[in-house]
Amino acid sequence: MRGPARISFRLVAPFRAALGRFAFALLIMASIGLMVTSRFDLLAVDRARGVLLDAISPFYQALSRPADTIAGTLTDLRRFWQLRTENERLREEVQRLERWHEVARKLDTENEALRGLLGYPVDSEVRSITGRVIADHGGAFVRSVLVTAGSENGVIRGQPAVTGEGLAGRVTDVGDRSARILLITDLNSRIPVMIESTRERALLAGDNTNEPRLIYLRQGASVSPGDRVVTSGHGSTWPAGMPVGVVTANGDRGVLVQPYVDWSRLEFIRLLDLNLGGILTAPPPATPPSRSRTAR
Amino acid sequence: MPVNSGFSIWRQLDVWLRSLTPALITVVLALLPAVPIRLPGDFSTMPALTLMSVYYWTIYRPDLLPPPAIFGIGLLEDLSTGAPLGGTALVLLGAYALVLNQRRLFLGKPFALTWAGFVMVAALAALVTWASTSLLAFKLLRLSEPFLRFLATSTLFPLLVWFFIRTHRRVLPTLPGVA
Repeated sequence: MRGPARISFRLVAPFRAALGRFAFALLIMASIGLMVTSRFDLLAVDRARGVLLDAISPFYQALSRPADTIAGTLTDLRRFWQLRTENERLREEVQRLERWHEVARKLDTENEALRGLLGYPVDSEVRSITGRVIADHGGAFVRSVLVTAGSENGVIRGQPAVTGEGLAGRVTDVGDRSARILLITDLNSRIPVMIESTRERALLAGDNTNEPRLIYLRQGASVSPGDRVVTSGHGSTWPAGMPVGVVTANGDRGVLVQPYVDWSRLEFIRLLDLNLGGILTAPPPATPPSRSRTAR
Repeated sequence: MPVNSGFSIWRQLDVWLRSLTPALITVVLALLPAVPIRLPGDFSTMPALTLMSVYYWTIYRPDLLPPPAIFGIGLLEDLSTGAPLGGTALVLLGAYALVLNQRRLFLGKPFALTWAGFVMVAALAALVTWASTSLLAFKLLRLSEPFLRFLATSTLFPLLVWFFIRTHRRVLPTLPGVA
């Protein structure tokens, strides 16, 4: 019995090795192919990403709550030491803001009256979908987060993602119950913005640092540190005027913008459902307009 | 004998489950980096945990972490971190091929040699990731990020290996190896 077995082993072994090498080469090629296709927006790849996103999101949902608790406790402890100075600072800030509140109310009434005079249509109300951040970027070259809201909640590709502080990013991948947000600091992020005071248009281009740059700014446009940067709404149906950040430097590296969003405390994100369809999205499905839906 | 055959089925199942351990550990390590820790400042540098796992198991039990599993794990990591799909799979498969060729060099040798080998693999992995991402973005990216990642990965390696060795001894002691 040993003879035939040995012969067959001799015949099979090289064949198996060749097959193994072939399979290995195939896997390498598949990896490269996938990387290249990720540059293009292929519908099938998008769909697959969405399905896989849903598959891994329960893992992150389970882990992110204890992670949040630990991070929150650490922050609390650190803040405890700065309580007095913080209190003082906040008192001053409240005083300052109260004055602004007065001004804003006055302007609001005035604005409404003037709009009434002009017959200007009021901005359509924006529905928003709130999602909890369950995973952030772990790679060196990516700035993105995963949130617990998906197509079931009305999320579609291209929607702007905001926090209370300002613009955080936009939706790039959508699953049924989860979505990926590309942050404005990511290498691949390009957001049409303008300088609030001068209405000078530009693109906000992320470069994986905490301070994205303004590109395609008009030659000779006057920009100085402290200028507020807001969305311009060009090239998409994003609302204009969403706060993005503040110009910090205008030097060798170009015009740098410090986003308003605090990346270390990104816990909840609101996705604005504009219901109009931007250049990145297919026409959204007709959903009955409800004010605000929250995903878990 | 029925008793004997029943026993052998359970034994088969036991062996099979134990042999899944390396792959399962690596799957968890692929998902771990994206868990939000929300540290103050920009602590975005995460060590390449799966690279350590692939390196270790390829040296000691390459039969338990075959290329298709490595490929799948690489895709999973890219998906969870939001990186271009396939990049990590490519790096991990490259590391696998490199280490598999040289694994006899490390078997039964002091840990320092294994570590030195890993530092080289990690450096190469960082460079490949940097080059491929730069190519995809059509511009040269800064080297500081992959360098920090390489430092973190190289420094944390002994800790993970300690964990791998413990698991290896506890879960896979009696299984036939392919030394």
